[in-house]
This record gives sequence, C-alpha cells and structure tokens, in this order.
Amino acid sequence: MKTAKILFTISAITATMFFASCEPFSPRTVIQEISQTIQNDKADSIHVKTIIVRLQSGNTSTGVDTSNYSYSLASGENKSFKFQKTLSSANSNLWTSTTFNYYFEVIDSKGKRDLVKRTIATKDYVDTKISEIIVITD
Amino acid sequence: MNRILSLAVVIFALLFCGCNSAFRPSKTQIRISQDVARYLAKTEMVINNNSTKKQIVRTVRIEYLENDTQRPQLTYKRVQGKIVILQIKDYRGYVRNVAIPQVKLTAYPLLLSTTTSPSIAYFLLASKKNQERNFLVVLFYQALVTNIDAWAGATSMLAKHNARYTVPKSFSIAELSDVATLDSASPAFLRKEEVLAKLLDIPMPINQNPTPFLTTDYQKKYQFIFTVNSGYGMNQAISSKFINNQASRVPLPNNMANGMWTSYGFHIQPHAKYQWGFSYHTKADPNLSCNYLLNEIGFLIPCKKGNFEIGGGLGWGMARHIHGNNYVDSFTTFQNKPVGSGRLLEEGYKFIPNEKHTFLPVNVHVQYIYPIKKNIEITASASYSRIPSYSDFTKTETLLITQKITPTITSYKRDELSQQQITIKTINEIYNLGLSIRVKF
Repeated sequence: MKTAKILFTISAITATMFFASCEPFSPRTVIQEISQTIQNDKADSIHVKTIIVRLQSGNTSTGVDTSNYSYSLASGENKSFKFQKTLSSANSNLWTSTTFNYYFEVIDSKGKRDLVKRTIATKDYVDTKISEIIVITD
Repeated sequence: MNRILSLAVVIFALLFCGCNSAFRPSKTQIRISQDVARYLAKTEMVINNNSTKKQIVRTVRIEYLENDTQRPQLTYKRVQGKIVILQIKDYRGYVRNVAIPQVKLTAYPLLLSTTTSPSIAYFLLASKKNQERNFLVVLFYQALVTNIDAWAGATSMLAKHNARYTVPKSFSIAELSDVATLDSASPAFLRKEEVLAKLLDIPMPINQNPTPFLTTDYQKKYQFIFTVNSGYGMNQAISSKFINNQASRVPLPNNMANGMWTSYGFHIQPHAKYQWGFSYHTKADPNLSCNYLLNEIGFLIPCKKGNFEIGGGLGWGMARHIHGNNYVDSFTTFQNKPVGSGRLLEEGYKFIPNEKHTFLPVNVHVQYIYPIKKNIEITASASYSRIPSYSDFTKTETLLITQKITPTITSYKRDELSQQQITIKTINEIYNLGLSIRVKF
C-alpha cells in the first residue's frame, strides 16, 4: 500500500510537470536604433537648419512626418538626433520600417552655405544599429 | 565529444555499479571442508529463512567450484534474512540445525535517473541553442524516465528482494562437529537436557577474524571517509575551438592559469580493496570560477603500512570566466569579399563576464595513503584531469564607411551588420600534485 502511494505521488508530480511544460515560446524582439550627429570641428561656430522627414510604412500604420530644427554649434560642439524603437513578434500588426531623410543647411561664420542630404533606413525583421557622424571642418 | 563522455558515464556505471537487485545472481554459496562435504552428501538439507511470519524453505545442494573436487560448497537459492537456518537430516532421521549468517547487500541503484539522465538533462539545459525546445524535451524526458524508474525500481525491489542477501565469503563450515546430526530420537538424548538445548538453541556464528568491514556477527560494516585535499595544478591547453561553428579573425586568448586546487571528498569503503564516493573540486583563481563534482571509484593495494590507491572519476562541472579583455580589429574583407574603398569591416569582441558553462570532467589519480592515527590518514596524490575552460564574447561586425561629401564635410557611418554571442572552448589537461588529510569513522 505504501509503495502504491509513493508510485501514485511520483506519477501525479510528473504528470503535472508534463502538462505544465506546455508554455508558449517567448516572442522575438527587434531593436531599431538610428543616430545622426552633426559635429562642428571648425574653429568658429556654425548655424545649422535641419529638416528630418520620417517615412513610416507597416501593416497598419503608414505616414510621413517632418521635424524642423534651427540651432548653432560652437567649435567642438555636436548635436545628435536619435531614434529608438522595439518591435515584438507577439503583435505583428505593429511591425514597421522607417526611412529618415536628413536635410542639413550649414552656414558658417563667414556666411558660406552648404547643403547636405543623408538617408538612413531601418532593416526589415532584423536589428538595426546605424549611426552617422557628419563632421564639418575648415 | 560530449556524447562519448556520456557513454563513458553509462559504461562506468554499468561496470562498477551494476550490482543492484536486478543484476545480482539468484544463488549463494557456503564454503565447506571436504570432510563436511562427504558427511553432508549422505544427508538431506534445506535452508529456512528463520521467520515465524512467512517461512520460506530452499533445498541445498553440494557443488564443487568449477569442477574442483578440492573446493566443495553448499549452494541454495537466495532467501531474505540476516540469519538463516540450515536443517540437516540424516538417513536415520536424526537432525541438526545450523545458523548461517547472511549480509544484506547495498549498491548504487542502476536506473535511467541515476546513470544517463543527469548528463542528458545537464547538457540539454546548458546548451545555448534551442533553449526553449531543450527545456521542453527535458521536462518530457524527466517525466517519462521518473515514471519508468519508479515502476521498474519498485518491481525490481519486490521481485528480487531475496537477491540482496548472501553468505559472506569469509564464512565457512570446516568442522564435522558443527554439522553432525544429534540423536534426537533416542530416549537418552531426550534425558540429556544440555543436548536437547543444543538442538533447539542454535549457536550464532561468530566471525573469528573481524575486520573494519565485517563484524564479529558477520554483518557488513562500512567505513566513511572525509577528505580535504590541496594541490597545485599545472595546466596544458591541448586544443581550442569555437562552439557551434562560430569563427573569429581576431585571436582570442582563453587560458586557464596554473594554480591551487582544493577538493573535499566523501567516500564509502565497503571492502578492504575498494572505495567509492564523491569529491568536490574548486580552483582558487580570481579570474575564473571552476568547480566540479566527481563520482569516483578507487582500488586499494596494500603497501607496507599504508595503501596505494588507483582510481578515477567522472562527473559534472561548471565554469565561469569572471574577468577578461575586449578585443577589436578591422579588415578590408567581409565573408571573403572586399568591402570596397573607403570602407572597413570592424570585428569587435566584448567580453561577457560570469557566463556559466557546464562540462563533464574526467579524472585519474594515484595516491599513497598513510595512517598516522587510528582514524586519521595523510595522502600524497598525483592526478590527471581533463577540464574545458570557456570565454564568451559579444561579437559585433560593423561596416565603417567614410564619405567625403564636400571638401569640408565628411561623413563617418557605422552600420552594425551582425551581433552574436560567441564562445571559445579550450580543453585543458591538468596535472595536479597534492596532499590531503582523511578522517575515517
């Protein structure tokens, strides 16, 4: 009788383990990190106007938005524009890809004007870690 | 390699521990002298289990060991009981009862849970690949195996409960007077109360040569041994490789330094020439945590006042690299293709501290054991161990692009192409010389 009780207990515990093992798999996540930096390595300060156009496309959300910035950078100073997003496979409707178009208008202390356009896009279904530094020199 | 080691564990267990009830012989023997054999040949003999609850009777036969007429023995099918009664009846109907000592055998339980399962579960859970699937496999496997073992073990114990009892090899019946029947039918015999007492009160067998492993009443005794060992291990790395077919173009050192090793052991000695047990080994190293548990077996050879022990062990270990350096280098190719002008491929390796890795250590050792007091011994040992060491890095492949936009504006872009954890494994052979203290009780 004692042996039967022990065997029953072991069977009950292992059966519980057996069914408790039916846990869902943990969802996969994708990290998108994009950084754009402008660095003034000139001897004098510069004035910069920046337009960032963000194009977003995805299963449920698409769109364009634009941001404008106007700022001055002293010698040796920099300014960064960072984007970070985490996507989870648990909700595939939220999967998006994003393209950034950066437009820089750089005016130095002598009034010289340079126009720069840069484009950075996220990668589909894999991590994106892209950083760019634009260095302005004399 | 892991599969070979797992197989070695199973073979090791089968060779040295395969004596649980399911594998034990069904018969046992009593050594007797030739005079006794000649006398008993003319009698009828049975063995009973000396129990009032449920008496079991076995027939007893005289056999000669491997057709050697000089070495007769009584043979009967094993029966449970620490003392069994040999009942002798001669052709005149006279009887004699003789007490026969039996020892209860204990051994490592040979089941799936105690042989293959720990290794299988250990390596499935330790694997970095398919962790969720491995976890499920382990749960299913353990559930199945535990049930199989519970039923198989219980069945084996119940079906073979008599097989655990055997007559000690040192017991023998040499004197004719020990087995000669008593004239119990004679009125003269009945009048002599001291002779009647001889028939009913059967003397217990006494072991004239008790040892630390067999008591005066022929019961098995074990010696338990605690050991503390300290030694210096010299390491020789024999091979290095990246696991899971990973690769690196940057040399990544993964050395295990020479240094002190300490171990603590608990052993059981059931016999003068044999001991088995467990020992826990740890390395004193601020950069590397390396610990392992060995299941050891050793054979003892008497030498002067002490004993030589030759032994080996297999077990389970865990290694953790605590401190390490980061490495980085750049290349002009990626996957054997040029990355182009103005571009470089940077390979960066960031050390990941405290990543745990499991392994199967193998150990062979020789030691000289010298008694300094009744229960205290010192040993000098030399051992060879085969242990892996691991280092983990986060490997990042980044494309570096330099672009001159205007004469005064330059872009420096970093595009991370891949990131993965890589592990370098180095097999080390460790030659250790040590001293230890053993306390017996």
